[in-house]
Amino acid sequence: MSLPVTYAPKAFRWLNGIFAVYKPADVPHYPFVSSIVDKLVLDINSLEQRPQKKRVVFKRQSEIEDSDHPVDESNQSHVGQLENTLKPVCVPDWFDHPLVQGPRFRHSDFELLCGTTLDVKACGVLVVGLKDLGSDLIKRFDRAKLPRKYLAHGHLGLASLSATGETKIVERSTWQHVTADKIARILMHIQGTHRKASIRQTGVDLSTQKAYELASEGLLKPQQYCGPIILDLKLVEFKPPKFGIEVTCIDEACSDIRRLIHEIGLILKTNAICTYVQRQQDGPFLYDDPNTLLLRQINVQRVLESMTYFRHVLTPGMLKRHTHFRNETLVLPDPVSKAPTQTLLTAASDTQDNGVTTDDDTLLEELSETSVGG
Amino acid sequence: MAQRAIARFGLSLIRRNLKPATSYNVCKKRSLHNTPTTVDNSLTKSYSYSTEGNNPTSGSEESASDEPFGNDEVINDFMKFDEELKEKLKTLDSVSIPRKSDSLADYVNSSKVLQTLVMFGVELYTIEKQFKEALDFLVKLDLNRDVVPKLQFLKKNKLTPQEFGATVTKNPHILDPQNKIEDFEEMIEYLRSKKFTSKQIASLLVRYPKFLTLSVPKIDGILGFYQKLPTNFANTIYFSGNQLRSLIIRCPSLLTADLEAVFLNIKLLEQSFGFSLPQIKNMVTIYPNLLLLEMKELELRCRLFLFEMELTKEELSQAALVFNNRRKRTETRHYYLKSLGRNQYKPDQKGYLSMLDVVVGTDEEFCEKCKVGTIEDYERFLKTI
Repeated sequence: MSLPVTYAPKAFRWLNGIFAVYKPADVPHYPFVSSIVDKLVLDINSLEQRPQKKRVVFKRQSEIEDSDHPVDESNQSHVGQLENTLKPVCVPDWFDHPLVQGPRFRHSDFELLCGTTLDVKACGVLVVGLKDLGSDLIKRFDRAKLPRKYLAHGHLGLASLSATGETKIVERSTWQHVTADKIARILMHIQGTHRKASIRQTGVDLSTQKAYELASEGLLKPQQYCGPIILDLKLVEFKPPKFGIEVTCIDEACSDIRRLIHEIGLILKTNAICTYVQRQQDGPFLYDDPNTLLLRQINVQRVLESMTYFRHVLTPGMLKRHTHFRNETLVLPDPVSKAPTQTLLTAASDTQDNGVTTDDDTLLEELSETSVGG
Repeated sequence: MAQRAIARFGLSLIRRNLKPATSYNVCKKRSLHNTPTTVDNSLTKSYSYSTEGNNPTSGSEESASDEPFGNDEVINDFMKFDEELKEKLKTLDSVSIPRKSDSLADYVNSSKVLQTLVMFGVELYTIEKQFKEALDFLVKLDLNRDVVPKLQFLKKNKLTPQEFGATVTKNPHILDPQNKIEDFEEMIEYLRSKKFTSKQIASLLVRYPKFLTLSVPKIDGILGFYQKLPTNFANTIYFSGNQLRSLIIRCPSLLTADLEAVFLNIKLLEQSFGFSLPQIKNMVTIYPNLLLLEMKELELRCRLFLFEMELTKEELSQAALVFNNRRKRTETRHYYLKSLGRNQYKPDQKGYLSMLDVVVGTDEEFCEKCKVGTIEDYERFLKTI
């Protein structure tokens, strides 16, 4: 616990940086972000403010009051002391009075920039940057594309228009044939195809030493946007018809997670809708860290503390611009379009590896056989 | 030596009845005598003479300067010159005022009235925001003619000078010279005729000073509307005199509310949710601000209490104060209790939690009263929603 800041302009100067906030579900993004700023403004206006400004006025010697400060004390000796001689005098400026101007800090003084936004229905960590340094760090953080971890709950047997429970349910299907084992195998399959596709999308010649070094450090990622890349999929809970998965991914939005659950349902020969999405981790920012603040915890002191904490957590290497692909000749495969109907999963299955057969095709056949029977 | 030369030079100029310097950025013209004039640009120094229109002095003039300085004529000339200069110096006191402005801050430095208002505690920035039409007359006020009689009138009606600032910020039209004290007295007399006690009127003055500038016939109509409140199926809810008076005192913004919105809220309660008339009357007497909520917000809150928390209409009508808290807060608290299995709102059952304990108050108070753990546990739960 550091010493509390009591002088408002000092606090304003220090409120410059990157920190994380927990966004609850059912709250739209922009009202939430502006309410963060409103809370900060309320708090900073309650601290001690700068003194009222003064202005110089010429007053007659007789009219000078005790509260007025003379401007130039050295001049007093040879200035005439007649009744009507004018003297420059410092007087409090009514223009700058707090009841005339209002609170010293306003909503527009703070500039809050977010990296990737969260849906209305999604909850979780939201990384947020205040003012110049914060905006700069947010932009570099975005460019670094650090992996994110989501927790998503799905409900088997239903299909709706938007893969959530909010819109109209279009299809119902049986789900009793689904077991945890089947889901786990599907998740492994998806994870594998995504990882292979991402390595292929980098365009680096895989038989070089450099490729091995980068892969061992985890830097073998595509340089352009190739759709969401899933690095890790794990089944966390399974209480049929509900199931929960943990997704670690790059370049993903909440709608992609919902689509993923919908596709898992389709592969299992049923349907699934997504009931809950929570972003648990965004790079080094965790959701259960005491320094990711809830809206009720936001005030100047805690924001400053969390900023200093995360400045140490974000090591300089994390936000560095990597230059390992700068002078490389990259041979990129056919570009993946940004159309929402196509994912890396489907793209990976479309592109054919010459003469390479995998166990993946046989896996799908197995699953289809069992579901038809059951 | 040099000083005597300067004095002689000055006297020679006086004798010639020279015009004083008309501009204060006086060009420093050197005299032909080459006397070192100490240039001092501050106006604290005595006036500097310009040598325009001056005949060049010759050496012969120096001899004529041996006369004494105490000549009456000379002094008179000097004093005349001094008065002209004084008038011109008055223009220094004025600050440049813009002709048109959006804010009162431009006029505060030069207006004594505004300065006295600020000293009373009137918030000029809120008046700029909310009452833009009031800026016009506020700048042109006269302290003794406009402000003082009204302050005396308010003091007569049991308002302390500390409260004067807050009342003017809430209703600056009090100080409008077009709103006369007779109109205010008429309104207060009307309220007295409707058996509002002077204590009640004083509390109204402090909390809702807008009623002073409302028109009496309109208020009459509005009070009549609330006394026989129409509901959806051509029924009416009747309030007695005492009940109506307590309604108005507790929620005076009913007087300036949109009556159609009020009617729609009652229609929503009666038609959509099916509250009976005695229940609605009970709810309104407990929490009159209910009628001022937006229709959608009222609907969502009712849904939360009736369907999510499974209260009956009778219970909700008796605990109507729960509508006061924000919907999101009550929702999260309900989900927290549900996750712990402690969401029991029926009085007969074990582990009963009264609605007022759950909904009213801050989160820390909620955790204490309902004994659901510390605030850290609640925050840990909030990070899963």
